[in-house]
Amino acid sequence: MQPISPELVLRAQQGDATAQQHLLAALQDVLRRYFARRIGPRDEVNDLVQNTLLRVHTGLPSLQQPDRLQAFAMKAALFELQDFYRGRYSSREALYDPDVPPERPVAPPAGERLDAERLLGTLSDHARRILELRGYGYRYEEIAEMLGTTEAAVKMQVKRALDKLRDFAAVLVPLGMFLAVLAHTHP
Amino acid sequence: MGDPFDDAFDYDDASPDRQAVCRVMWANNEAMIRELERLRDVEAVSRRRWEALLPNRDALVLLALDEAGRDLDEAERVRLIDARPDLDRLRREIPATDAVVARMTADAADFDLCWGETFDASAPQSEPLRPARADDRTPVPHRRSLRRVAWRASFVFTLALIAVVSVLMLRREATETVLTAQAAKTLRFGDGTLVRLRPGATLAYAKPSQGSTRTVRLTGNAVFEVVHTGVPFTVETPSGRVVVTGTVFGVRATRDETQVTLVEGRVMLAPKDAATGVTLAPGQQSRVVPGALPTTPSDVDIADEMAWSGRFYFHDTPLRVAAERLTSHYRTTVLVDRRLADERVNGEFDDTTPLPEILRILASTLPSAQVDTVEDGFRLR
Repeated sequence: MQPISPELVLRAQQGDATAQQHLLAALQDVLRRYFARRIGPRDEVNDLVQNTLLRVHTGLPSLQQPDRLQAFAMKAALFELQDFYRGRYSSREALYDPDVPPERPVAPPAGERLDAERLLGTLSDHARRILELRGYGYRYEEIAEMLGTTEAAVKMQVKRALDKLRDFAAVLVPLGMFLAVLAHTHP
Repeated sequence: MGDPFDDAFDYDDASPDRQAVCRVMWANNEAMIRELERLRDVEAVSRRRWEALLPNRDALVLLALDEAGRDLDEAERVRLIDARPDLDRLRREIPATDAVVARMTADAADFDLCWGETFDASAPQSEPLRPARADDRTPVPHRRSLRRVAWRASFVFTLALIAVVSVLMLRREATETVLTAQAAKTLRFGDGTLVRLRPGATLAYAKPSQGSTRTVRLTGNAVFEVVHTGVPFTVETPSGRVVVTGTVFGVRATRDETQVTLVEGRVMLAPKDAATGVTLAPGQQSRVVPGALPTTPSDVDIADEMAWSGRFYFHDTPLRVAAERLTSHYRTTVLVDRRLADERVNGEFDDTTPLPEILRILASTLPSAQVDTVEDGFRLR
């Protein structure tokens, strides 16, 4: 494919509809290739491409140097990618989204949410980092790649963290109840 | 199946069918549900910390690019300088920030590779960025020839693919596209009109061509944000027809009933085969069933009636009411001082927008209002 010339960018900035069409069509190829590579062949690739094109189209008039389109488009793609990780595309985080809890037959024991917050402070640096990256929105596969380890090892760390939380709850919740009773009987 | 927890880990990447099977299995497994709850809670805590400390991730992207020696324009530099104290705090409080920054640097480098591959046919095709392996460092002759063969094969394959896609596209040109949304999905038409499909909605539309009447067919729930072009935009449903010229409205269409709620602009709702119907004003709702006239438009609470849409529509809504909705949706307390309780707010937000971001925007529209983080949520005062 022919490179995008600064002249084409300039004409697109000046409102030339044909130039805009050519420019966005060319960018679409780059973006499709890019997002498919970063997140894999997922349904969200199309939405990422479209929304990035929209960012480019909207921001094009503010591009000061037409020969800097590549950097301009790259930033737009990176911004959009962060929105993807944030969970703004589809329901990929539905299971863990506090807004969409899994169907459950029982109520969670009192105090467990608080325990989860305390837990983060008690974990090893490695385990904490993994859970933080999950919180950012990365998949286990991506976290493994980022930390130079295997997906199985990452999941094992998370399992251990949950075991720790269970032990944590087993000690702290009864202790909290005991202290509450104590406070009630000995005001 | 091995360890049932493996399913939990893989849930978000599983097919909808597999997810449904998992939910049924877990519904009868109290211990498993408890484990999932713990995992969900821990991840939610982590996510809330990111949202609280980094409500706008763009700043972190700029930081990563700056540290990688990339050029930022003047406006971006100013933004980065403004955000620097918050980013420094983020790094102190969330150690994984450095790993995210490193990832963004790799994301940027990968973009350059893709750019080169797209616009420079002589550039080598690259694998996704991964740590280099020892056997990558010393190319051997037979491997290069294998690569050449692979190149030729991929070239032929690409040509074949282009041919197949072209034929399919030509065939599709005369037909309409029918899309069923498995999950919430947003479409943007060429004229800028936005359609937010809710899960399960089906939308059929003709390939857009200049000057053609803008007509789509809908079953299910969707919100339309129609751009004014001078050409009417029509939504056909099994029981009715909505004609608009430029507006935002929600449609809930089943075989037996079509309900339209107008957020802004002006629409006409008519029975399927009738030329005229009723005209709605913003904040009104009407319904139509087959073989009958639409109901007289009635005033409704937009925020209530559009709750299904996945967006918050606050139109002249008392702040205390908006806070109640946000509290209910985000499951985090949003307190409002008495001084502000009856102040009216306006705004439209996707319901995946971080709560602090919504509160900050709402507060910015009110006199001397600010958002505080309190022990179990937020306070507007």
